[in-house]
Amino acid sequence: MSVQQLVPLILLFPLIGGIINGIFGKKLPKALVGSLATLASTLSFATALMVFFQLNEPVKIHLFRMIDLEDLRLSASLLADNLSLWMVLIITGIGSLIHLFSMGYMKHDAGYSKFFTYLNLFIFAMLILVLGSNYFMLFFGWEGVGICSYFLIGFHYSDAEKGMLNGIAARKAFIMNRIGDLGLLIGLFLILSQFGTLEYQELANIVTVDKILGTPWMMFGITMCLFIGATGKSAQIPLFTWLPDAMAGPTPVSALIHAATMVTAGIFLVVRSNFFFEHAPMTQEIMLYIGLATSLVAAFIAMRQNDIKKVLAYSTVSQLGLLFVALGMGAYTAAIFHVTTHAFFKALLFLGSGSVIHAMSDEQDIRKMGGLRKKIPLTHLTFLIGTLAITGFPLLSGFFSKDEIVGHAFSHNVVIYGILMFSILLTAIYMFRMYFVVFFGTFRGTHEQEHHVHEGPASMTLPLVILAILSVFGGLLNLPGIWLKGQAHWLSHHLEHNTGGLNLIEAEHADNGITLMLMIIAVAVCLGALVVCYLVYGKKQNVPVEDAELSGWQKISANKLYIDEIYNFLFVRPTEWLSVVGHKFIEIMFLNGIILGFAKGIGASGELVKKWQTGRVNWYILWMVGGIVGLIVYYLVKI
Amino acid sequence: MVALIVIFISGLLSLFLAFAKKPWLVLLTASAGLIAGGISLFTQFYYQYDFIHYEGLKFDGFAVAFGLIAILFTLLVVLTGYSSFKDKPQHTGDYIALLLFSLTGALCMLSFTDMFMFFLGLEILSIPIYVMAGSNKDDVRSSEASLKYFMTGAFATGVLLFGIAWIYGGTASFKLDEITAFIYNAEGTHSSLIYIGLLMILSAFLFKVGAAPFHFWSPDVYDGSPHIVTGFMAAVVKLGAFGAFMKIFSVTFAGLHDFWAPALSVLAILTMFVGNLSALKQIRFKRLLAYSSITHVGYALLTIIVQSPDSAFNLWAYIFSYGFSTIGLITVAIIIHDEEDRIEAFRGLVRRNPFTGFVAILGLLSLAGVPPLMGFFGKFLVFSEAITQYPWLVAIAIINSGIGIFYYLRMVILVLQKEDDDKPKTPRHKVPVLQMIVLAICALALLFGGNMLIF
Amino acid sequence: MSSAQDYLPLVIQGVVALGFVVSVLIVTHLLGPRVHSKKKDSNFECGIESEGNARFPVSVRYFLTAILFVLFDVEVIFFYPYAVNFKALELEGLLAVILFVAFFLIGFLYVLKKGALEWEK
Repeated sequence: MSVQQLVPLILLFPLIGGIINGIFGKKLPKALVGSLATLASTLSFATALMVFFQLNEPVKIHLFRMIDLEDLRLSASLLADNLSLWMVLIITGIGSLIHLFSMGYMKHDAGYSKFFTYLNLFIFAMLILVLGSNYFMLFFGWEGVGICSYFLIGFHYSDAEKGMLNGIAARKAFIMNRIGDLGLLIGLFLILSQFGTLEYQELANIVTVDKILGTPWMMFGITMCLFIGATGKSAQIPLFTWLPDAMAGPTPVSALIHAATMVTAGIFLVVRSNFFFEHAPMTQEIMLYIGLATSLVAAFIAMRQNDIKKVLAYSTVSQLGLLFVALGMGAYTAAIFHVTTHAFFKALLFLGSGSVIHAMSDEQDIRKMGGLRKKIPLTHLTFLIGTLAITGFPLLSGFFSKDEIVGHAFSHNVVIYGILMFSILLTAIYMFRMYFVVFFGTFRGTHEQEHHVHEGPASMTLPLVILAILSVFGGLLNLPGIWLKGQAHWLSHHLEHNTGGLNLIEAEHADNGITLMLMIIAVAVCLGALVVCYLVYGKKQNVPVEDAELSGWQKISANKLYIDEIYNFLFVRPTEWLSVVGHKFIEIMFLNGIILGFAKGIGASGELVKKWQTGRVNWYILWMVGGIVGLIVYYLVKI
Repeated sequence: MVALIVIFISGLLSLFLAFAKKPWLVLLTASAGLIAGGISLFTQFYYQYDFIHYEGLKFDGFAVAFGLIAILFTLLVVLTGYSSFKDKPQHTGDYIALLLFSLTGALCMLSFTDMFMFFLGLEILSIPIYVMAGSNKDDVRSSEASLKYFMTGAFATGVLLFGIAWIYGGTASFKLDEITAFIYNAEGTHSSLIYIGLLMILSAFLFKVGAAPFHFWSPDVYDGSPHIVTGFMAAVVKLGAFGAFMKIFSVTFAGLHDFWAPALSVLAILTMFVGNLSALKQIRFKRLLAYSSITHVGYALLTIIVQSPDSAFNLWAYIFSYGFSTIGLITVAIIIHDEEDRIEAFRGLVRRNPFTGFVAILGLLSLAGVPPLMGFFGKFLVFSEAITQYPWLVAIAIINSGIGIFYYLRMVILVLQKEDDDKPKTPRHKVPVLQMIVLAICALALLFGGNMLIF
Repeated sequence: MSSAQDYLPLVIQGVVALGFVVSVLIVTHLLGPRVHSKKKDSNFECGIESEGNARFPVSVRYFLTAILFVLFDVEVIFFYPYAVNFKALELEGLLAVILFVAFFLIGFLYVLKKGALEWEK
C-alpha cells in the first residue's frame, strides 16, 4: 500500500478502537477490551513504521473539506513528513507500551473500558495534532488531547476519599490549558489574517522562499501567541501549576499524557512553526528565558517533594523548560532529540513509579517506602536506569540529548550555560534523592503493605524492560560528531528539512576540546550528585522530614514556592469577587427583573389567549364572521 | 392525471379488499397504489407524456413537487396508522380508502386551472376528513371533533363559494389564467366585486390552513380526532391548502399584492402569537400540536406574503420539514398510546424506548428550529427570503420562535427525564415494525434532509 | 356589460332582509317582559329524575336508507338530460354515462357488501 493509503490508517486504528470500546466496552470481557485497545495502538505503530520506511519526501493527504467559504478554506488533510512521522512513532510506540502496562495496572478498576476508550481517543487526537497539515488540524488535535487529558486526570472523580480533589485537579488543568488555547487561537487568527492560509507548507513557502513577512510586531504577535499556547500545554511559567496537580490521574496516564506525549505538543508546535520563530528574535529570547526560569523553578520545587509522582511531574516541567531553552536558541533538532529520549526515560520512570505504587498498595509517599531494592528487583533495576538516564549518566540516552542542548547553551551564552548546569545539578540531586529513599534503607510502610509488596504481572514488567533498553540506547539516534564524523547526528539530518537548517553545535565550534570539556563537566555534575545523595540518603538512610519541620529554602521548596497561593490571590479571588458582584447586583437585581418579567408577561398572555378557546362552535363561527367583517372593513378603509 | 386515477383506483380496491378480512392485503394495495401514483406523477412530468388529458388539471413542476411529498406523507401516515387500522378489520379498508380519496383531493388542489376544479378538490380533500375525524365512534370527543369540523368547514366552504361567485362577477371567468390576465390588464381600476371576492377566498383559505382568527376549529378537531387523522390533517391537508393558497394568491391575485399583503401580514402575526401563547399552557399532546401547527402556519404565510421566485420552493421546503416532524411525533404518540393523550405520558420515554425517544426529540427540536435539523433549514429559507422585504415581520417571527422554544424544550426535557419513583413504572412500549420504519425514515429525513434543502 | 350600480337593488334587498331579521331579534329581546327569580333562573326540572346519558346511540339505519335513496334518486335525475340529448352526444356521451353509472354501481355494491341495506342484523 502506498503512503497515501497508509497514513489515514494510522489515525483510523485508535479511533475504531476507541469507538468500539466506548460503545460496547461495558459488555465485553476486560481482557478483550484491553487487548483491543493495545492492538489498535500497536497496529497504528506498525503502520507508522511501514510509512517510515517508505517515505522519501513529504506527502500531503487530503481527506475532506471542512470549511469552504470564499475567503476561508480549511481542509482536513494530513502531512506526513519526517518530523510528523517521528512524533507519530514516539506517540504510538510509547502509547502501545503504556496500553500494555495499563492492562495490568488498571485490572481492578471499575472504569476499565472507559479508561481504554479515553486512552485510544487520546492517541487519536494526538495523532491528529502531529499529522495535520495545517494549524486548524493541529488545533483540533490540541483541543482533543486537552479534553482527553481532562477526562483522564479526573478519572477517579467518584472516588470517595479523593474524588473531589481529582475533579478539581482536572478542572485546574483544563482552565490553565484554556488560557493557553486562547493564545493559540488568537495566533491562528493572526496567521490567517496576515497570510490567508493555515497550511504549514504554504506558510513555510511564503515566509522562507517568497520572503513575504508581516511587520516585526506582527511576527512577534504571532509567535508570542503560539508560544502562549505552548506554555499552556507544555506547562511553562506562568501556566505550569496544572501539571503537578494532574498527577491525580492514574499513573499510566501521567506517563503517556503528562510526560511522554501531550506535554511535548508545545515543543512540536514551536518546531513546526520554526519558520515564524526564526523571524521573531524577540520571542525566541523570551522563550529562552521562560524556559530557563521554568527549568530552575521546577527543579527547585522538586527538591523537597515527597510524593513520588509529584517529583517526577516537577522533573517533567523542568525538562520541558530545558527544551524551551533549546528552542529559544533555535536548536530544533536537539529539542526533538531530547523529546524522544525524554519520552523514553520519563515514561519509564512513571511506569516504574506506577509499578512501585502498585506494589505498595497505592502508597505514593516516598517516606513510607524504602528498601524496595530487594523486594521488586526488576522495577528497581529499570527505575535505576531511568534515573541514570535523566540525570545524564555517561553513555545513557539522556547524557547525549542533554549534552547537545547544553552545548548549544555554552556557545550561546556562558551565563545561561551556568544556570542550566545548576538546574541539571538540582535534577540529578532530587532524582537520586528519590531513588535512594525509595529503594534503599529499611521498609517504612505498614505491615500489611510489606506483606503485599510484589512485582506486577508480565504486562507491566515487559514495557518497563523495553523502555529501559530504549533509555539506555536511545542516545544512538543522534550521537555527537566528536567520535563519529560520518554517522553522527542521524536524527538531526533526518529532520533537516523540517527545521530550516541543521544548526549543529559542531558547526559553530569545531573544537572537539570544548565538547569534551563540556561532557566532562556534565559527567562530574551527575556523578557528584550521585555520590552526595548516596552518602546522605543511601548510606546514612536519612528520611525526609515532615514538611512542617522544614525551614528556609526547604520550606519554600516544599510549599512549591507558594505559587498556587499567589495565583489564588492575584487571579482566583478577584474573579470570584467579580462573579459575586455580577450575580448579586447585575443578575439578581437587574437581569432577573427584566427576563423573568418578560417570561411572566408571556405566561399571563398565554392564559388569556387560552380562554378564547371556548369549545363552542357558535363562538368559533362568530370569530370567523368577525374576521371576514374585519377584512371587509379593511377593504373599505383601504380603497 | 394518471397518478390521480391510480391512487383513486387503489383506494377503491382497498375498499373492496377489506371484505376479505385481510388487513395486510389492503395495506399492500394502498401502498402499491401510492408508490405507483408517485412514480407516474414523476415520470409524467419528467417525460412529458399525457395519456389522459383534462384541461381542468395541469401537473406542472409546482404540482408535482408538492404532490410527491403529499403522496409520501400519506404513505407514511398509512404505514404508521396500520397498527390501529387493523384492530377494526371491518373498517380497515374504509379508513385507508378515505385517506387515499382525500389525497386525490389534495392533488386536485395542487393542479387545478380553474375555480371549479379548485372547489371540487377542496371538497374531495375535506369530506373524507370530516368522516375520518369522527372515525373513533366510541369516543365522544371524536364525534364532537367531526361535527365541529364539518360545521365550521361548511361555513368556510360557503364563504369560499361566495367569494368565487364575486370573482366571477368581477372578471366573468372561472379560469385562473383569464382571471390573472383580467387583473393585470385592468391596471388598478377594479370593481369592488374582485376585492370582496378576494377577501372571501382569503378567509376560506385562512380557515383551511388554520390561521387566526379562523383557527378555532383546529385545536378541538386535532384534539378529538384519532392520532392518525391529526397527523394526516397536519401534514397532507395543510399541504393541499397551502399549495392552492399559493397558486391563487401568488399567481392569480399577484397583481393585487399591494392590496392583500398588508392584511395577510397582520393576520400572520396574529396567528403566530395566538398559536404560540396558547400552546404554552397545554397539557394534551395533540392540542399542543394543533397550536404549534397554527404557529407554523403563521411562519409559512410569510412565503405567500413575500413575492419572490423562490417562494414556492421555500414553502415546499417548509412543509416538507414540518410534515416529517409532525408525522414522527404523531407516530411516537401512537406508540405511547396514552388514553388521555397527556404530554406527561412522554416522561422518561428515552429511557424506556431509546430510539422512539430519540425521534421524539428530533421532531420537537426540528419544530423548534434547532440546527442542524431539517426544521431549521425550512425556517431559515423562509426567514432569509422575507428579511429584505419585511424585516419587521421576520423580527416578530423570530421572537415567536423564541417563545416556541419554551414548550418544545419543556417536552424534550420530559422525554429525557426520569419517571417519578413513587409511581409505578411505565413498561416498555411495543413498537410495530411498520412504525419503526416510519420513525427511521423521519429520523433520517430530519437529520440529513436539511442539508439537501439548501442545495 | 353590467356595472356595480346594477346590483344596487340587490344590495338594498339584502340590507332590508338582514336588517329586518336583526331588528326583530333585538326588538323582541327588548320588549319581552322579563321576571327574574331564583326558581326561574335555575334549570328546568320536572317529572321523574332523568336517568343515564342523554347521548345514547340512535339507530341510523332509517336515515341511512333515506340518504342512499336520495343519492341514487339524484343519479336517475341525471339521466333525463342525457336521454334528451342521447343522439347529439354520440359515443363519447355514452361512454361518459357508462362511467358515471359504473361509479354508482361500485358504490351500490359497496353499500350492499357493507350490509347497509339489511334492515335487521
